[in-house]
Amino acid sequence: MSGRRSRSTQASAVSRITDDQINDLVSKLQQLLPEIRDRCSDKVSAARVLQETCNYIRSLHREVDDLSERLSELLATADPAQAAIIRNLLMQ
Amino acid sequence: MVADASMASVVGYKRAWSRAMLWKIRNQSRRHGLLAKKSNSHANRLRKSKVVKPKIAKTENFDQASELRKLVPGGEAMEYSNLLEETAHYIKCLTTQVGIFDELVKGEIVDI
Repeated sequence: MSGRRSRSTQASAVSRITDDQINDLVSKLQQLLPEIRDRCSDKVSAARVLQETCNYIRSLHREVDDLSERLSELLATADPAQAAIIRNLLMQ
Repeated sequence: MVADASMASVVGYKRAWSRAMLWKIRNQSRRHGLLAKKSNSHANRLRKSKVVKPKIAKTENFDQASELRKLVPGGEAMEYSNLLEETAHYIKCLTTQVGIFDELVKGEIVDI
């Protein structure tokens, strides 16, 4: 028992994050994932959440790339004034 | 690239992932000689603030998270709990960005 206590004391000296807080963060992440949120209302494993998170981020990256490309093409042929406004918005 | 830069600069230095992204973008610009000399002070300020240089993080729940670390800017060096928090914020920003670009594209198509 004392062994466990000293280990956890060491751990909390390094980081005060508890397992509960980790679980809380994982379930917050779960809420953002359409795959899991819409289909499984039960608790899902952390590993599954991480996996789905990776898949979701990759698909969002693809969407951004795809939309960026379409936007570039449209801006190239669009009304110059309109294109300039949008470019300013994006380029800061 | 432009999408990344605009997203990161809107969030600014409030988030570890956006700091990592801005740091990376500024370094790339510097290497291409696009920024003037005063960019050095910018970079130094970024380094002194909470920008984390790539290093291997400690071992807890990491095998599961290693894939995620590669996807989130600055993820390689974050504590696991930070990684989860940053990921949530990063996802919210990405989905917002997708929504905005979608509107812009639809707007363009309708007008043309």
